[in-house]
Amino acid sequence: MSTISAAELAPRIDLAVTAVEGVRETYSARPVTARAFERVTDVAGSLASVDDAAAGRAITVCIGVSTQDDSAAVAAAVADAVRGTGDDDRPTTVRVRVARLVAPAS
Amino acid sequence: MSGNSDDIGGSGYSLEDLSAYLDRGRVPRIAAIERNAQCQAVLASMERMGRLSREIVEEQAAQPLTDSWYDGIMREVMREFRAGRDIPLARTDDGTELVVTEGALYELIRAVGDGVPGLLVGRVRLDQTGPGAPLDVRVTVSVRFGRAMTTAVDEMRDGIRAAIERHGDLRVGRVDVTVGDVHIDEGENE
Repeated sequence: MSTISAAELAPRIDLAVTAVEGVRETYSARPVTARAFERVTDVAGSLASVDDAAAGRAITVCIGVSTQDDSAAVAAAVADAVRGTGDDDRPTTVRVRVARLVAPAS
Repeated sequence: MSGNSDDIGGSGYSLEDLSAYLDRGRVPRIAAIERNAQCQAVLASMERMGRLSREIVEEQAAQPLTDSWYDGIMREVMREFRAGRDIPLARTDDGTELVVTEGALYELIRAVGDGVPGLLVGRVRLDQTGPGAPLDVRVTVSVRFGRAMTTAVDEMRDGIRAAIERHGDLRVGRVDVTVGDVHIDEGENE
């Protein structure tokens, strides 16, 4: 059994992802329905999607990377950072989605 | 806020909403837009188009880009960002999956075009015959009158290949660049 809930873990993941070198932007990876609820209630929840199921935990994060960086390398570093936020041995899949390749910071 | 039919990226906002949001300086801040990758990409395209139009007017004393031209490009941009395929960058045995969206690659290709002098990007198409296969790219461009077409096309083609292959194991197959139009530049003197 996990010692940390999905709701507790998601903000930790947001912080960890933002801290990874090469991450230029972060976006919501949560399902459309969750985002619609946030919009209606005017509450901004976490960006990371953390879904707990019997088979394990599924985490998705969505990032923007500079066009000058190797997005695969940045995404791999993000995945490592995401895995570092968990404090249990629960089977976890991590999906890092590079949703934008943006101009390098001037 | 708009209805669902024009919804961009599940944000609840339409292209017109985003245009109005940009016009008023993105204030007050709307989290559903600022936290949405597709909305951010569309806003970036709008800003780029606005900048491009101003540059043409200021530097070349030419007519501003017409609304129809602007609308045509924005329709293409919208279509591209709705292409929701995820293209694998890497997958590992520990259940980690790294992907790049098709929309991100479209944006990357347009950015390459922005860097080629005298070239405007029109339509972009991206095809992949199967998982792990090289990406085939087709681009339609307009070249400024007086600019050597072959040079501009070569720069675009080489730029696309280099820009995409910088990312992980992504590989590029064919790159077809078609010059579909020539635009007038009264100030150009190459």
